[in-house]
Amino acid sequence: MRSIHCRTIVILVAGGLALAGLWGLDAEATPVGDATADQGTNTASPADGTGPVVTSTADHSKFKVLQRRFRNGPDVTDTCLSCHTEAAKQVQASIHWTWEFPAGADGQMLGKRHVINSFCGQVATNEPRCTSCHAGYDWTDMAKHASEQATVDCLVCHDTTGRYKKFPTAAGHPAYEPKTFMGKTFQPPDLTRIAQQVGRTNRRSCGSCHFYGGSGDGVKHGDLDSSLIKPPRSLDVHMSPDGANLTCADCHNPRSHDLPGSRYVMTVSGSDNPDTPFPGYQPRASCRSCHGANPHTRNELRRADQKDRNQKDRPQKDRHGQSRGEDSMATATDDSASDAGAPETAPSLATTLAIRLGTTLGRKLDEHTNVIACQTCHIPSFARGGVPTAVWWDWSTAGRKKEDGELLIEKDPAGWVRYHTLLGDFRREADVTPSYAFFDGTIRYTLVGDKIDDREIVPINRIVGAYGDGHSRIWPFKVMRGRQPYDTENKTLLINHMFPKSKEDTGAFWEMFNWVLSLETAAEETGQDFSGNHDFIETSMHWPITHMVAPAEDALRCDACHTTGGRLEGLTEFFLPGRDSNEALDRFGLLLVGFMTVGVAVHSILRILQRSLRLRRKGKK
Amino acid sequence: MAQLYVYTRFERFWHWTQAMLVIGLGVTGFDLHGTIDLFSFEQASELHRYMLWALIVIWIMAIFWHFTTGEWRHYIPTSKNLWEVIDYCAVGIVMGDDHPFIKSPRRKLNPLQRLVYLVLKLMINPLILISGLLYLYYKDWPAWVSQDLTLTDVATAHVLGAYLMTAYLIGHVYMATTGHKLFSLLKAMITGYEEVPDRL
Repeated sequence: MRSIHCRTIVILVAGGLALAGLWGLDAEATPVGDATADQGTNTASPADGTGPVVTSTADHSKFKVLQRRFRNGPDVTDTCLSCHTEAAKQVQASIHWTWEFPAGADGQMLGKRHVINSFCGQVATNEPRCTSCHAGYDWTDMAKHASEQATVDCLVCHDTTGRYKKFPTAAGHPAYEPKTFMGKTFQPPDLTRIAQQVGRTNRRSCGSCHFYGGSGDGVKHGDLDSSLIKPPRSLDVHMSPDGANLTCADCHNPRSHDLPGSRYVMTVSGSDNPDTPFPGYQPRASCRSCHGANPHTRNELRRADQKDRNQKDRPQKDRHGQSRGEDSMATATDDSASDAGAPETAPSLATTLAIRLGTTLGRKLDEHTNVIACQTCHIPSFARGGVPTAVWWDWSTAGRKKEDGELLIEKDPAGWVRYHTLLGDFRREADVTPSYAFFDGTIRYTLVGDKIDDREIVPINRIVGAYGDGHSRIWPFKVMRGRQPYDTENKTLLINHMFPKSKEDTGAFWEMFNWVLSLETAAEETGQDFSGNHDFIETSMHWPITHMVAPAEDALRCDACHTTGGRLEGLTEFFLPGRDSNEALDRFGLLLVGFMTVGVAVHSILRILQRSLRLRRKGKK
Repeated sequence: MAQLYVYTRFERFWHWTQAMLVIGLGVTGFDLHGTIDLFSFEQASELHRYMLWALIVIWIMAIFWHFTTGEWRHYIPTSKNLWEVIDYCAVGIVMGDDHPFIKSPRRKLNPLQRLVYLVLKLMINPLILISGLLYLYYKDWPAWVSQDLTLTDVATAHVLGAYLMTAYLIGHVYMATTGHKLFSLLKAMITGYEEVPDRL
């Protein structure tokens, strides 16, 4: 055995030192985010776990002014305002009250007051039914501003008991005596008790309207339904009690009752939108507010994970320094064990090297964030919580009754309504794969007076955005399709008067089931031009998907898009590795490789022949 | 027959490591391209990346070795006896001729080989390496690059390089069977020793 050279020892020692130096890099304390810099959640004290528990400075049940019987909703509001003097004014400046949204520079006036859509059509002429979801009482005429007619409803948002329900056809009032609607009896809520237990908004109170748009649970949005009141972590990591347990207000950060985060104009935050970290973000939370700009490389994910834990691991004080009580609904979960990126030990040498070289998978994912919205990969499908969403609504078939004249209601095998006399044909779908488009945050709507092209499917709204414009990203959408009435001569969408305002209302569709009559009545009342000739036309409507964020381990994998026949098949404006290739080059390559293979085969055969037949060239040995 | 020591330890290590990496890169590369489907896109892209870094390390070592040992001289192209070699490959070998090229440790590559390896090292490898790096670092392109170059260009160049490499690989593996006996050259690249006929 040779003796070991000095040279060898030097090399080994140098190598060892180099490795130790690299290892030392691992131990570098990368800032992980202050665990006590908390989320500052707006919280309520709901008794049923629809939001985290926080102790307030006021126990409303002790206030004398609330210890009485209330005549009606507006009576409660008056009392609220005796202390919360500015609240009504604040609410009346917000979209929840005005149902109006002036959208951007070109000034389309949107909002429930003005849009027509492929669900219930338009609010106008149907007010007492539709304004049952108004944050107020008594708005019975869309032609007037809400403030001219209505009173603010404090309880619908601030109820923490879950017992306050607005009656479906009372223009925002709850029942004051037992009343029936569509076979269901509504008991009058105990306004006194509810008023004494008001608190911050929670998922149930916001959801009491926002989950039920379009006439039923989960019909409209696709990513907002009752399954989000207490969702499992697999349905929505932010709203789950096993996840971050955030309420709607935590992201839709209200300032003076003004809640940002409308569907009409959205922030598709790119590099030109520097979000500030939670909780002081302006004007609203986006993914980047908490997860930062590089959420896939280790540090950022770990910081966000700090919040995404079992209740008992969460920071013990909220933003006011109030200590958090135990949430009786918090369930111990095994999920934290399988959290991606959760380990507290230093990253391995290999990982550190990979991050330093800058080409880990995480870094590659971060490189996608300026063209792909977080929602695209992290909401792989919507309507995942057990409530299927409507994907088709054909109004043209409405009006068929049973033989005895009663309402005809057909249900599908799962129990969801498939046909209803009042509504027409319905189709619901669960676990829906979104459709994708470039989106810069603006949406243009087809409004009531706008001319439509009746040779094609009419887009109720159009998504604005394009590849390469610097501020669009690929975003997931629900596409709602349906058929609704339009004026065949004027080529405009028509408002339909469905809800009879009284027994004598003979123009209502739900009374007479006569389209011409109800369309004419609506046109007369709203001043819309109606030629008298109508037909039904197929429409489509895009709804941006942003809720039902799945856990990281359930996010879309590369293969979902980087493949042929994948989710982005329709977006061909750019080169997508794994999907696109140069066909001519592939043919050339195939020919070349084929030629080589064939040549090699032929050559081999000839050589074998030469060997076995002992061929020799003439004139050579 | 003489036993010539033609391939040093490093040379063999370099050859086989590079061979595994090139094949691995080719397999994962064509998986990403969609030609074959053995891995998920995620797995294939990660493997492809790790092997790229390993290959770059090997290449740096090999280039260093070529210069410091003078091995680069084996690649100096020459037209002397080039035609004889081509004739042998096309016709002579099938006709039972002896190989016109006498290998020695000082002269390992025949003129045709010199030409092919030069094209490989100076054209095909740079094509595939540079296009690959541009592909990988697409998001970091400075403005003066993205003004004139598109991702489609880079991807096309990279795939072209891959097809050329594949064609080369087929030829190369086949050429390895053209030694004195079927496995002579393979044995030489493993042991380092090649049996060559005694000739002056």
